[in-house]
Amino acid sequence: MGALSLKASSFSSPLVAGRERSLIPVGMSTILPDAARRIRQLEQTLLAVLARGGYEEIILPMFEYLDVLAPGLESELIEKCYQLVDRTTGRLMLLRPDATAQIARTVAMGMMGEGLPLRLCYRTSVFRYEREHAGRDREIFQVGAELIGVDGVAGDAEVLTLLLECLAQVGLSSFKVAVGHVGFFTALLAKSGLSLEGQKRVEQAAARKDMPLLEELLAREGIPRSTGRVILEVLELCGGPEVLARGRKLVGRDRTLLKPLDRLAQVHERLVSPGQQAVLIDLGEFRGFEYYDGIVFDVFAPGIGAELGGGGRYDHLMGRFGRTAASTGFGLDVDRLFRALDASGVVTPAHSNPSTSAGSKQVAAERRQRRSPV
Amino acid sequence: MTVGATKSRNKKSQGLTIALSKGKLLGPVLHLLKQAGYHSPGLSTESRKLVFACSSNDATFLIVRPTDVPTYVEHGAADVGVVGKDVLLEQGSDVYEPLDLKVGACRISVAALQGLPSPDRWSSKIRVATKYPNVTERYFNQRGVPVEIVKLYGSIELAPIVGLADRIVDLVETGSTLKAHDLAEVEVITHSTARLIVNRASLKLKHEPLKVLIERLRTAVAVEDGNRAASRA
Repeated sequence: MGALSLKASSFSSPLVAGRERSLIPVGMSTILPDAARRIRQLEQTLLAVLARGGYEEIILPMFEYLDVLAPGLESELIEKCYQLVDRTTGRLMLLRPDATAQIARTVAMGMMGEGLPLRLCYRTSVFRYEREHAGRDREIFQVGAELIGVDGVAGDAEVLTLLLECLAQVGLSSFKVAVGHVGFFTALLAKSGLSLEGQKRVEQAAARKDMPLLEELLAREGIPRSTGRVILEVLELCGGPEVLARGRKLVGRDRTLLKPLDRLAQVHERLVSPGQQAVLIDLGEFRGFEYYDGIVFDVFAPGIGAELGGGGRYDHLMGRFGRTAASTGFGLDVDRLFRALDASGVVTPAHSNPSTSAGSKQVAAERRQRRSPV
Repeated sequence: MTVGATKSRNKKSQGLTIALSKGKLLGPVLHLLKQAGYHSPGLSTESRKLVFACSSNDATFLIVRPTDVPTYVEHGAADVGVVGKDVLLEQGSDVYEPLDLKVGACRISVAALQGLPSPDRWSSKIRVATKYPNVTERYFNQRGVPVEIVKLYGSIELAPIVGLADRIVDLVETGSTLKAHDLAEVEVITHSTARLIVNRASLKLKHEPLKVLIERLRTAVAVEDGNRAASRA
């Protein structure tokens, strides 16, 4: 589990008699000083970028009542939660599996007052019972930001720009941010003539890009070939702005389908400046948390087989807690980001930030030391 | 994965790393890859090496155990892999599976000793030997049948004969192995063929070479499938 570079595992021989029981629960790790220093520095760099963007840090409770937080969590995530019982009330509590739902809950409860917009960021751990041997940790270190109360292209572009700035400032070079829109594929399915049950199944198969199964599902419900072909092609549409042009061609004059494409085009335009080739438009991706309802994005980098983080627009989430407000946000998995930096040869964050310059001389010395042959 | 491994792999990060299943699938899959324009001189079903460079494209082949292919791909140690649907169903890996290669056709079936009465209602717990514990559990759970699973790694046919289990869940290709052991195929759980699987990050980071590979393989599969149909007719 986890990166050897980052975390220490228990090295005591697992085969010593009487020691068969593991000392540390699977998926949890102790981070020793050297890695801890580097990881905190990475987090500080990220938080400094967010602070410069006007995002204020918020510290969230580690566990919360299940019934209070549940409206903001998808059922699959609730199944991955660590649950415990409150000693005073007997109510079920859960170790926080996701910070976004907590922030939505906090803001909806009026704890931040009524004024909008709000710019909040966090550095925290989330806990998820991930499948064993999937190479995943069960305590996940995250840094993230949420922009609440800014609708439209402006909000989408602000959050994506902030994400790109974060990745640039930590020194990650060859990353890709794949940007899509959940509204596009769901509208496509709604128009297809599939039954509700069929849409659900197609969505699941599409999330795995399981083309053989998709063809079977579409054929089973007698969906016209032409409609089916559009669905299948859209799932493979990923690339530059030409993807949007192709998407437009496929959907014709349908307003509900053109709207998400227009939105993506506008957001993309605002992002594309020299050197912004890191942004991919991806019409075939819509997986992730159910609560996203607009643009969505994932970050990928060489050497890491899974996304380093992602986010999107989740206008409906706040409503589930009783207050409506347009919201967009993202979260980064610090461990994976750290490993991606390692894989790309960046030893420590390229830009240290002024607020942590205490002891920077020492850090600089260590950096030099570490650049010597390993 | 160690940092060292990540770094050394990263050097050839532009090319594709393709994990292939050792064993029965290898022959037909190599043939398909060759049709698609991906071949490696020394790579055959006979070779013992584990890593081969592709001579025609910027790609590397890894030869691994079938059950390990999804692991290599899920972790991104390989960008693409070829593995039976049976293995994917058993492991539930988080990968894309965009293409059915239509080779290595077989089925996962329930089998029992010839003449074992099939109860109308599964009232008491039955004992099933298998190397597919997850598929087996899901299958019987969905039907509300209480089941005790005996996990074996091979020679599953032996289990009912020696009384280790009432039934087995195993891969069936022609059914001759079952017959030879006096077993009858009772139900088919699912059909399986070889699938191309793709790492989720690779699909974004190496979009172009992957698109080319998938397209060329898709064409090769269609041609081969057509040939098979023609030879049957």
